[in-house]
Amino acid sequence: MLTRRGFLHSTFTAAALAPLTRLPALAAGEDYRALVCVFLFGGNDCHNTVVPLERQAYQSYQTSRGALALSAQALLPIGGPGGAAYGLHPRLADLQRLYSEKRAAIIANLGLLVRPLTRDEYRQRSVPLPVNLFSHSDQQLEWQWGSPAGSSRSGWGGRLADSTPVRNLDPALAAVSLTGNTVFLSGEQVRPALVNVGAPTALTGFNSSREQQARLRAFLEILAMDEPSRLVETARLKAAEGLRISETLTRVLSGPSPLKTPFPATTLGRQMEQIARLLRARGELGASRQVFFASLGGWDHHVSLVASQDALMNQLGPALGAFYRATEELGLADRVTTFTASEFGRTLNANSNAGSDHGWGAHHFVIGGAVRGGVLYGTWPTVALNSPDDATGRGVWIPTTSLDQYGATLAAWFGAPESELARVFPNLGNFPAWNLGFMS
Amino acid sequence: MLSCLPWIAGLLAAALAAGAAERPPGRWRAAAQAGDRIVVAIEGTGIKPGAEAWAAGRRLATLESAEGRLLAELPLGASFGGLAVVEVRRPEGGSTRAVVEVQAPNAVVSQRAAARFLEQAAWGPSPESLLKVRQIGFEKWLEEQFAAPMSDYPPVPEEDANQSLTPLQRRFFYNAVNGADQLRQRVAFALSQIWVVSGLKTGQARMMTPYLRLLARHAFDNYLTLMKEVTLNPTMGRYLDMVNNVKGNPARGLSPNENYAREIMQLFTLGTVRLNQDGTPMLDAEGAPIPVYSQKTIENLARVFTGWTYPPTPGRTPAALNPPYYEGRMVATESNHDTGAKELLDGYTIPAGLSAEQDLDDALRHLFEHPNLGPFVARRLIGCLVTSNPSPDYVARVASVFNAGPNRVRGDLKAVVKAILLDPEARLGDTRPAPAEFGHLREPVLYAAALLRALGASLAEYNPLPTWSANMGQNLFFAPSVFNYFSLLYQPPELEGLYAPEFEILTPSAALIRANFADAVAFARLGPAVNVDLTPLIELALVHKWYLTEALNRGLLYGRMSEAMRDRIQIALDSIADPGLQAQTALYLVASSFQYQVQN
Repeated sequence: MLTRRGFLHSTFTAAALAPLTRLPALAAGEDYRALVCVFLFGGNDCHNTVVPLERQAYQSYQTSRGALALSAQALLPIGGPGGAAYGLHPRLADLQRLYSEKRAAIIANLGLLVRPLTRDEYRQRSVPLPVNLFSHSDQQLEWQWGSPAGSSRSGWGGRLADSTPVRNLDPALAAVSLTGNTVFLSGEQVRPALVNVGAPTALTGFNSSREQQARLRAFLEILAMDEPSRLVETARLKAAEGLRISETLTRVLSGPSPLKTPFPATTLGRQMEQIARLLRARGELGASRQVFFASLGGWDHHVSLVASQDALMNQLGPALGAFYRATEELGLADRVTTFTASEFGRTLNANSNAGSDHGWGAHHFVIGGAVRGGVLYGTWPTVALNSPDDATGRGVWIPTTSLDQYGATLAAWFGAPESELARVFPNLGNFPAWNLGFMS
Repeated sequence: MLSCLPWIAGLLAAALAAGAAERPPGRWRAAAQAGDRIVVAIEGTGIKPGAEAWAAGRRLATLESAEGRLLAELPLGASFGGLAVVEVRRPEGGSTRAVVEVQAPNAVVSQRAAARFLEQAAWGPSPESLLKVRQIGFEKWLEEQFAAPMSDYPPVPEEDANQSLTPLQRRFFYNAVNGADQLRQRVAFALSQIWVVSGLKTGQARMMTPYLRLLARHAFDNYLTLMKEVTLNPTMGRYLDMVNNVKGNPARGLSPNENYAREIMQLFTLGTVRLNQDGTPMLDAEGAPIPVYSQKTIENLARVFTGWTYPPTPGRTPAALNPPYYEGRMVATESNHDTGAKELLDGYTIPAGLSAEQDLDDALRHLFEHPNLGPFVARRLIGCLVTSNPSPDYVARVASVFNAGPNRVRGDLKAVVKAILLDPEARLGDTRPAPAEFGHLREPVLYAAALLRALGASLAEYNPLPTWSANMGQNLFFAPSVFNYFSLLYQPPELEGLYAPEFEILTPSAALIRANFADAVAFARLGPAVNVDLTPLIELALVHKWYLTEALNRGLLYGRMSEAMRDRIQIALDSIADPGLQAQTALYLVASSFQYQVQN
């Protein structure tokens, strides 16, 4: 078996610093799967994302939210269990369409849990809780670690990439982040490749002159020299990997997009477009299983929720819609699953700045051809203050579905063996029925 | 013009072997005197009164001009790696030049030893500090460092709109490259990687400046004092939620926030498992590590840390819960403090009825006296300064100094730092090749500062280093979490059991950007804030490319360049005619190499 170290060593001859162009392109019908996490940093207000439209439920929503409530006419109606109607945020027309086409599902009241708990157990602190609930930095980390009650050196996306038996020909691109070095994609073996929107990271300062090419050749050959120090040895291998990835990405991502699907020129839109371009090049990259991480920040709407969230939703909806259409264009719609995430939801009632404060459980979307869409999974909370779902009295939902279950369902579709799921989600055993059933 | 030739036995032998030299006429010597005064002596026939010595494009001050003898003063900046091209211009016309090697006849420490020491105890050697350490030795230099005045940060602006941390970041690099208190800065930065506060949550200058000053002020103090000062620091209070943390109310299901209680034990003092004095984990009968504390300990310690609020803002009436103010210590509001008894570690219980400060002092002393603290602090400071993989014996030696330093005092950071730097394991590589696992990868901040210092570069306050450091993976003052820029106990999968914390941020992209930083330094792409004078290197290149490579070997790698690397650099230089471009190329190739980026 070619170990990672052996693989990197073998790339180290002068000829082998050339790109991986000799890989056979993967044929149609190949066994390719990708997960795309779209993280909404700041804590998206779930209450205005999916709203109950049944008359009494809507009135309870409206009363609780006061000035934060969206008008029923503006909401985009979708179906739900037992015929109850829901409405999506007015800017999520793409998701309304995907939901009606059964390509998108909603997971209700999802959040970080160590184990299921009731409101009384929460208030008495009689069961373990995620560490430092309501803290952005802690909840973001715990979400990425997939380990709410303790720290972790790895993230569940990375552990997932570690554990799938289907191997990429180039392990360096198993996990790709569009927003910097994220712990979500750091596994035991897997580390994230960082892809920018725009030009890939590359060596700079060299032109085609004889002198500069002499410098470049010397740099590369010095990089390939054996040195007794183990730290020097490991560092230079990392640099060689960087050169290889840079060369590949430059080839694959340069120039205008070869895709016909147009993408919005927004922060998130551009990230999703880069992912789509990488999907298109998966054969060239030798990829079979990839986890991607994209993100959009700014969701911490303590002030002026309605207007601020509207602008961000106007970015989220079209970006997700364009991305799904691109996967259709590539014939990959049922091989790519996109899912949203956020460190927490928000309070149902307003604060004194026409905003909402940090919450807990929230609703999220899963999108893809393999999704059993058009269904709202999980348990819909009672949208009222001081309901049995309310941890604090301000409409902070105690989650009824955990990240572990959400992630494990995605992981199983991705190809993780069931025996590996407990390694990806150490707390998974605390929850009944880890498979939520939203993937086919 | 006579051909240019070196004279000094060791240099000459190597240069001759490389085919770069012939015997010079006369005798040429350069010797460093006290301070950084270097005297060049040129003797031989043909030297007449009125002869002038020149180097690096400037005339040297003549000390003595006689028949057959010329003495002049060589500025340190006219040399590189201890080599300089000196030219004698005869009054009747004509000149002779030679490469001189600056000797330090009164040196108590070799160049390699001094350089390695300064890589560990300073932001890397500068030409001045290197000469100084050679002349006065390690212990005297440490004493000077303990007494050196503290570098500071810019005054905190009043306006809310002016609270960016960017000026602090720039000043940090300015202090690193130029400041006299090198050791204090290194230790304070190491402490900031243990007692982490991140701009991601406390990102205003009014918050960060007092905290950074606090760590610098107490870098050589007692660890217990540091523990108390940080615990009561308002910025740390905000970062880990201790400020305005009030006692619980069980009837309403409210408990005190546990964040600080957890992190002070896990990350700042004890770690999660019991340690032997050599830093290895203690194991129970089944061979499993033994936890130090339980969730209950955290809950009780959280109750200790209740009742503290921001210091009152000057000119405003103090309240039970003061609004944010970051100068000075937090103050206690006793009615918010939980006065019940609290059981902590190993059956020790803080009695009921004590004040907030009494509880806090009691708890901190309890943690301070835990046997874990010595190996915990030793392991981390050794890792930040010297090597990521100290032997257990090294850790044990330093831990014993922590446990009982001079005067039998526990927690003397000055003694601990001294023990770390003077330990035989730290100094082993001074006289022989360091073991293959020794040393650590320079984190981006250290890489940038050390390279500029080694080049004798000048750095202005308004500089681009914070951006470069962030692009290399380390956004100064914005650690991603309380676990620091990288975990101090990170073990890369590739290294099979070795620790290498800095590798946690060495992504493939970051590795390329480091090379790009070396390119920016060598080709003057950092803008007017950074000034690297390559003249000495260019003059050496003009004599023979061997001297250029040898100067970089001595100036950056302290004599440890492999023959293969030297040869490969010189092959590249063969394709380059312009000596200026030769100097830039050779500098890039050494500075971008991981042989340089790893310090061992």
